[in-house]
Amino acid sequence: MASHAEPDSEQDERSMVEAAQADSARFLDLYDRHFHRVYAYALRRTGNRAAAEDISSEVFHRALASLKKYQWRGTPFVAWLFRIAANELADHWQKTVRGEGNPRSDVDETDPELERRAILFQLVERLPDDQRRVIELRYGAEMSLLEVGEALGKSEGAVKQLQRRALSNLRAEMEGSHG
Amino acid sequence: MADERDERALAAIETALTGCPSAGFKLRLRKELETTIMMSGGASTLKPAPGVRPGFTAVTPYLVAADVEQLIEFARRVFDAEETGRALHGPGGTVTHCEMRIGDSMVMLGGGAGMAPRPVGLHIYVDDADAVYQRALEAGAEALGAPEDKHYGERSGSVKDPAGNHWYIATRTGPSYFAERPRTVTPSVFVQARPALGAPEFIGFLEAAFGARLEMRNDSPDGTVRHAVVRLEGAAIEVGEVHAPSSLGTAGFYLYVKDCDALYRQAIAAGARSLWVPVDMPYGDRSGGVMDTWGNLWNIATHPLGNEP
Repeated sequence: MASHAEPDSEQDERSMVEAAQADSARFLDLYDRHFHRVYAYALRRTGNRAAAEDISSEVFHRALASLKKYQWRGTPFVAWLFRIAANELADHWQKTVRGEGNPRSDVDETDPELERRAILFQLVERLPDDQRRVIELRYGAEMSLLEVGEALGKSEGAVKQLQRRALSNLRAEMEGSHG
Repeated sequence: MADERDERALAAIETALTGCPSAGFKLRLRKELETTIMMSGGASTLKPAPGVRPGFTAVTPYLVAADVEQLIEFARRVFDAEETGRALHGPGGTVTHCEMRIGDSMVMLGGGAGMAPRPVGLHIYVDDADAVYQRALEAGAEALGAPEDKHYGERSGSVKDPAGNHWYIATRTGPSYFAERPRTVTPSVFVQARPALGAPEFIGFLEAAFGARLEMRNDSPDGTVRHAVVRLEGAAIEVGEVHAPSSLGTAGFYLYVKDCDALYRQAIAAGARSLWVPVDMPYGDRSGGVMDTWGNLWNIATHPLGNEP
């Protein structure tokens, strides 16, 4: 469980990138591996989910389109994705009405908090379905317990119970993944 | 004390979860990327052949049905077909043309009320032929043959969908008889065994008209062509010969070629009848239409983008 989010060896990552350059269908492996990192980065920079989704979507479409041009220089592939994201964010803020949102440009790509969140998001995906849906609605969509209950056809109490179980599962997993 | 630490740890997780992505979004984006990869020809073709629309091969089966919506729904339900485009030019905005992707293959569907159906035969590879066969029956298909292990490296069964198309639903169990890895969907044409108008002559026509090449031919002891594979610019068409008139009648195909004007002339010279001379179509392709002696329709098109360097 702990190993899935750990950075792969340089060699592994390099061969994944080369495989995707030779056969674009393999790009999806890179997507699966890095989605949560890119999303966590975009979320941290924009502070809102809709913008983070837009940015993530742009980043992966662009990365796919220019993958052939990517040259391995020994830096992690995700750094290249962050670079694309940074450019997208610059465009994004230009397009956004001034004053709407508050761009954070002080985000350090190597901030351990980013990786921690990426791991957390990945763990959410692995929760039992009912717990995962509660977490997504409660914290992703920022709904109240009542709203989540309505969306899922459950009582508030049942939602609360699922939320508690999910959080304690996540905590145990996070501790497991950090030792 | 321990409780307090617990509370703090949980609160930190709750904060970190704010804005967490939905699995639905991640899946949707993955699907989008997958479609982009597929439409750009995916892995096997680094660059589409000249004149071929990205995402397509040289040969696309064209299914004509009176009730197009019903056929779309059937393909979606049974084969997980994904609609990639449609045109609504029928009465009341009904579908007249639709394009669907099944696995790595494209099929075109068209027609509408009052259109003479033009069902085709389609050999389709799936992960679990038995399950898909069952799903086809549940979706209203008529059983033609329950799945069984065949001697040619597959387990397959066949059904007739509500529009009359035959689907040969197969799962690979051994080496393929195709020279190249088979695509998800390969069209099949059945020709009635008739002197000078049988499968050998039909194959000869495909060679002369479209520059197709015979990849394999397997004859019955009585001399009829049991099964043949013909390849047109890399795309396979299967050909069989039957003694009674095939219930499938005649097929329709959409070809993407480098120079549709030249191939149109070549098809006419090989004995096809002109349906329309090549013209630039409003949807971007340039295409001409011919009908062969057996009654099959061939829409011969060139895609402008496919010819860009």
